[in-house]
Amino acid sequence: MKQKIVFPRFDAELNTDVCDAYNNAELTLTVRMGFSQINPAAGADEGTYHDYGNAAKPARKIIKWTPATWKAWKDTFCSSVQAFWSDKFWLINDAGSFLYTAKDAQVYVPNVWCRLKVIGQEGAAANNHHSIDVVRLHPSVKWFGSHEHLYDSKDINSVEKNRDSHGKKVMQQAHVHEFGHILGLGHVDIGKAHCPASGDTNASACYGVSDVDMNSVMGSGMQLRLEHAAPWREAVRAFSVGEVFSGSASPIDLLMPLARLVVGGNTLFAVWPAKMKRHYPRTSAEAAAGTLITAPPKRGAK
Amino acid sequence: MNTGAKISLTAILGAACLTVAIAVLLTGGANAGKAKKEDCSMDAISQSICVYRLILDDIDAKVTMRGGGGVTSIIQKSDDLFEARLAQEGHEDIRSYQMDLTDGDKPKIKAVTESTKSY
Ligand SMILES: [Zn+2]
Repeated sequence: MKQKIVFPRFDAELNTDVCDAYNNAELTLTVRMGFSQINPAAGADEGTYHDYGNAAKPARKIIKWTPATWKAWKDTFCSSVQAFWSDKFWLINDAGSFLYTAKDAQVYVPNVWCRLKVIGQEGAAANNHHSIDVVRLHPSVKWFGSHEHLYDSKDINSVEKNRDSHGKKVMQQAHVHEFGHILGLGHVDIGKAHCPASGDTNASACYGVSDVDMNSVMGSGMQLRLEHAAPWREAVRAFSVGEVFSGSASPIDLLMPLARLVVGGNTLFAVWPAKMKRHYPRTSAEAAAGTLITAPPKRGAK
Repeated sequence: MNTGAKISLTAILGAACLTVAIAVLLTGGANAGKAKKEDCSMDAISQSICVYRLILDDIDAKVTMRGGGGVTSIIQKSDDLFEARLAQEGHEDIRSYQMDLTDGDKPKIKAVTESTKSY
């Protein structure tokens, strides 16, 4: 079965058709990105554009987009964001949700594989989840002041963002970090004393002070952390709770309350802990025992 | 002969001047960033150069976010208050410097406060 829930930041689809003794349910978040060109004024080949789109800030040299460079940039944006964020997390089913009977007649508790689909479309499209304007920088320009709705052509490049305690450069691709915000993630140090949630959480200290935090993708680096599975966890909870209240339970679903007691979970209080390694579907007994299966298990006939 | 001698003398003097100039430049380069105590009170320009050097040295020592657009401005907001802006993606880091200018020979940083301007 494929179910869909529309969230403000993305559409979520839970696919349990792919479940069997070895394969988990797939949760795909789809984000529609709108792209609009910013070109030099009056059709000129070259011009300038100010940092942050603010006339009081430095003007940078820009050049006109061509159809080929525009397509290549958008394609790279979407594919690299997708490659970075998709297929990295598995959510452990501690809710006893989405039970299914595989061909070996065994009932399984599927975990959830977290996937992402990024669709690039015109900036003016009405159903974009997020839209950005993009300037194409002149080759001589090294940096441009971007913000969440204004990017530059070099924002997909890896650039130095910070220096760790050993003086080592911490590199980041800005668009990959920004996409974390699009999914609803905040900066790594939000909530710590040097980055109070009540203040401006764009302050540099919020991008990580310790070396570990600095290297997080929601800091100044490119490392994924378990907490970055939060958008998928939010979505899976909605499907899991919705399964209980939808009244569209299949015969196997009717057994769910019992099954959940058996596995020790409860949909409303389920945590859906994230892992960054494939965890195979479990039988109810395995789930109840808290067994985690990371190597291909021996199962009955497929 | 006389003409030739004059030319030679000019050439020698010119080479000597150039050598002195290079030496001065090298000395200046070596001292860059280190405001000499006696320089700061000479005149207004000297004092403000000392203040700006102190601010630049502080930024160099304290700021770890070395990417972005760098230092885009340092402006004087009042007699003893200066503000430096560092351009970053999506925001500017603002460092406000309260200076102690009571000792004209030796300006000091009294306090630094950090804030952020988001875009
Ligand atoms: Zn950010």
